[in-house]
Amino acid sequence: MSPTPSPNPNPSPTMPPRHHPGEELLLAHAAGTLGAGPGLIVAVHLEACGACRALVAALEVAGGVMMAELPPVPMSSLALERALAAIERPGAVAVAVTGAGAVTGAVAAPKVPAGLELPLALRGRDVGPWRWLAPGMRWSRVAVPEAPRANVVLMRGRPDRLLPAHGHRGSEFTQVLCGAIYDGDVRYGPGDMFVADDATHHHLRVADEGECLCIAAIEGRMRMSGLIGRIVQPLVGP
Amino acid sequence: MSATEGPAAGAPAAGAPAAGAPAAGARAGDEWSVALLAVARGRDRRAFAALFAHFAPRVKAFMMRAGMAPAAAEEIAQEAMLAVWRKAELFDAARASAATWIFAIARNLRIDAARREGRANACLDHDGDGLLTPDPAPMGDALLLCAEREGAVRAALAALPEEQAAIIRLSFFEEQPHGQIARQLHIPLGTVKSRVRLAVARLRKALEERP
Ligand SMILES: [Zn+2]
Repeated sequence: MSPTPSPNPNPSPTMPPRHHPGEELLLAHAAGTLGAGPGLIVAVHLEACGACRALVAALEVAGGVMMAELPPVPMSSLALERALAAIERPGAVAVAVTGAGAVTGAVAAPKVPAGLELPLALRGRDVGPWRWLAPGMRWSRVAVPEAPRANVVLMRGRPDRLLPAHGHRGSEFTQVLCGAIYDGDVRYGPGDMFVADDATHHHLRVADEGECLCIAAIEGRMRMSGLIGRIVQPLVGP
Repeated sequence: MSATEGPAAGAPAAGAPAAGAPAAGARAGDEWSVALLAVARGRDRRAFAALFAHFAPRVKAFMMRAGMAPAAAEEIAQEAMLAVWRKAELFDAARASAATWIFAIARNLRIDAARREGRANACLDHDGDGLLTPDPAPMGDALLLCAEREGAVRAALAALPEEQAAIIRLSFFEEQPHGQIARQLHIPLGTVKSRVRLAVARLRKALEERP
């Protein structure tokens, strides 16, 4: 809580997010047991959310404690010698890093539509071309080469458009990058993350305040019906 | 951050802590952090050897507990310690202790290993991730998990009821955490989830109560 709330009636990207990944997701992220797709969405949320970053940092402390509490298993007798030899080899020291921008190294910029700034977590990843999804809605695939079965997409919608009604067989993890989206009466703005599980059948509508951009990881298959469902099939995957 | 009691920060230890010397507790973490800083700043091999003696067997234990064969676990522990040497400059003692930072390295190597199991060539550089990078958004002290906050988290963790601590522990070790944990402990999935929520809420509270 900020001690001096600034009188800012307009939601802006600088406002802290209101909808966060649940405790279980943050714990799985800290433990490294979350799948690549959802893990990427949580990483994007963390960039936008100081509160969740602090909590994940606390959970990483817990991880360190849990690891330290395990009865140590002795290394083989030559292990330290091997390590000391390895660190003498050239290239054993990383180049000094001076800032966040220096970390990722020289990866070709992904093909991103003009005017779109991708989160750091997506840096160095291929982003496919925009494809038609529904009237006023487009999508594009985000490459997850380390887990080819992960299904991660960017979705872009014009104000007041509806995403075709759909249900789920797995979960869908969505993070709003800009604009806002309504699921019924609930508004998800920039930085907000929400999860739809197999019990959810949602009707998503882009708010009328501007174009909306989301990133989503889709697990399992979406259940679609009718013409729109067939059109959307490419997004659902093979 | 507030002044630390005990040895002045910025006065690097004359030598690294002798292997196994630090007792359990918050102070011990600080000594390992000093050793890690000695590696970062001075490429101190003695400090590295001490870190190796302490952490390599624990990383190995962590990997084995997660289901890895001893030889593979030893290999990952080696890799982790080499990463400690290579990435030591990225260590920021204001954000985490050495124990937390090395856990993050080990965890990322475990993720890579799990993905390699599924398919070849699945290695992704985790340099863009969390503790292993400079803070992407250093927005202020509120976000810094300094040594004192880390101490608060450790205290909250130690105070957890055993049934909650057990679930947190298993969450770090099992690959498919919550369904598996529920079966293993013969409790409903909903109970596992609510214990996770309760435990994490306590850690959150510990963070918020710090000045
Ligand atoms: Zn959050």
